[in-house]
Amino acid sequence: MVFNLFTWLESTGLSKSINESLYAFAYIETVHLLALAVLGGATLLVDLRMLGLGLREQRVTDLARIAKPWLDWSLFLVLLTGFLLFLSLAASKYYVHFYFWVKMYFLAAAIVFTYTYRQWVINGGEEKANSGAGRLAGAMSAFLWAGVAFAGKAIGYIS
Amino acid sequence: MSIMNFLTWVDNLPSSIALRESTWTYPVIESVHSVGIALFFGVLLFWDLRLMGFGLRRVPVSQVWARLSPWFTLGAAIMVATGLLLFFSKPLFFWGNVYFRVKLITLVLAALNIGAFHLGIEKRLAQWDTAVETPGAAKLAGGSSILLWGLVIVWGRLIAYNWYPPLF
Repeated sequence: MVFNLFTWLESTGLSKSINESLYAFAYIETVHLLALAVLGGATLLVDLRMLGLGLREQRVTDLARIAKPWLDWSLFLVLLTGFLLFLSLAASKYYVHFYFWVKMYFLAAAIVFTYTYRQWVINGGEEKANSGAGRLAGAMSAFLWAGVAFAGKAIGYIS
Repeated sequence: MSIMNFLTWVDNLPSSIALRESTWTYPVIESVHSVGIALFFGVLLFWDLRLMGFGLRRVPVSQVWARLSPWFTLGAAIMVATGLLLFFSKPLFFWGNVYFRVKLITLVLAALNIGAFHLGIEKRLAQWDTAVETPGAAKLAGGSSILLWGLVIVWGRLIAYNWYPPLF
């Protein structure tokens, strides 16, 4: 079922044109990496603060408000470029790759965590953000996104 | 001894060979190098944006520096350490790669930009520490930093692609 979907995705014209281009995959990957770096900074700015590190004179809610557009847009760009990379070799490389699935589970967990629990802590105001709930949100967020990045890097190596 | 002789000597060192032929060590070093980008560039971005009058614009520049610079400096230290190890494992490959050469030049420009900022407009920081609208020189330093470090990442990623024959 999933394999059939991936096979169909890989057979699309867009997938074929990425594969046939000498440069497309590399350029998309480069944008993916730049967007990943921005995403890392936007999430760390708030995660560090919730852990009592970084800009600790500032309010968590103020930092989260400033980081939000960077977080949302970099995540959008990471997902868009990531989907294009995935599309090019959906069935033949990614479906069969252990670390692709590890990365997808980490990614799903990171996105859900960021926009549910972590956002709930931030919305709860300073008292909640500076409590154990905030420290948990900051540590889990940093851990899950690092997991996405490391598993993603492993896709390029281990087959 | 010419640079080629030196790099050939490094390339033949047992430790260099062991590193490039390792199953796990090389990939792990490269992974730390690329994940370090998020710590370095991602955190640095908010410092550069502050210099340009964006992002943390209500926070004093000196406070952004005090709180964020340890983190992007740590990121930079990780990048340099892992980067040197990667170069050590394949010196001839990297030296012959056009994107590696361009990356080195861009790194020098990025370093000059840092030097110009610290020797220039930062000397008068007391006058604009809390300013939302930062001086033109600070805006230029912040914008140049984002551009140059972004290019360093781009060139670094493209080193992996063998589009051109070695330069020697």
